[in-house]
Amino acid sequence: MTEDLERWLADELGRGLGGLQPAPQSLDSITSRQAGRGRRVTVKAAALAAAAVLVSTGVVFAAGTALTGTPNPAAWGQQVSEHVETCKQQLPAGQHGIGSCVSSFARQHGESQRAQHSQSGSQSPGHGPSHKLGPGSITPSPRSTKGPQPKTPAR
Amino acid sequence: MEPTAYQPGSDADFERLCQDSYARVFRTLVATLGDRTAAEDCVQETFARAYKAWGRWSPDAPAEAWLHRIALNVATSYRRREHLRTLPQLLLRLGRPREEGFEAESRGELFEALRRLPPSQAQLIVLRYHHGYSNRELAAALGVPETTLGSRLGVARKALESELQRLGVVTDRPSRVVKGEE
Repeated sequence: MTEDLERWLADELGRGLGGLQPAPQSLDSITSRQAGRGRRVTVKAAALAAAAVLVSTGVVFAAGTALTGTPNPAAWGQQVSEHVETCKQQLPAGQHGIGSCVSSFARQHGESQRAQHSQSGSQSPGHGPSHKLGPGSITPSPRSTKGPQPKTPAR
Repeated sequence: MEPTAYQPGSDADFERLCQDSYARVFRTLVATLGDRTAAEDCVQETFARAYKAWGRWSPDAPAEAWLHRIALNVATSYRRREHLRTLPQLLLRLGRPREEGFEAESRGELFEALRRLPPSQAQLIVLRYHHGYSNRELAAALGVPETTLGSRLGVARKALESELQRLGVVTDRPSRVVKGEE
């Protein structure tokens, strides 16, 4: 291949491809796919965490409601779901991680329930250890150390 | 090409790599496939595959060369799929005038000749003569020794030259561009 041809080749390629740009949404879809993947993982983790919270609170509330007439756990589950959505919306674009946002809400809720419960003094004595787990003992976040941890379902 | 520092597996660095190399890989694919829409699809596929493998990227080879290697695999698979898909249509069109289906920027004889080459050869030509890759960088991009690369590049040049001769762009001896001299 002569220099003449090589020069022509470079010129033609430059002319044909030089100003060529991919459609703007083409790159956007990659970066959002990339961000979305991270977000999906985080949301999945948050959903699992929320499910774990719901299971533990559901179990505790089932026992607690039967004994004390405390609020419907479904309402609490609804609140958690709504708050997960709010946390996702508050997250700046391209950033992941709603765990702390969700757990702070759960902690606040746990504390308010605990306070409410200790004021009402509705926990009745004489039941098995699992029955002592009233709403005040709900600990959605492992960081919350007050009260017993409801790790096993109430018998 | 200036080597840029990227951290394998870092999302921020991958985004930077996207910004730096997306258009360049896209252009390589346009020239290799001769079709802008196909290049759009393939460049997305390339970066999606690259993102999956980003944690395993070794900084020994330039990141963009690595991307081009993935792009070549994507383009080859695309060409193969496309060939199978369009074969029945080609058979139906036998003897009829060819439809204009390509974008204006890829209608020239050079791009026609590149389209007729295997994607690996077309890509070598584009990486060398458009992106200015050295033999070492090309060898890294394709994961082959430099000597192998040298001979592959020679074969690609010869194949391109013969396609250009067939299209009447160059005379057969010596290789001279006749296009534009009329």
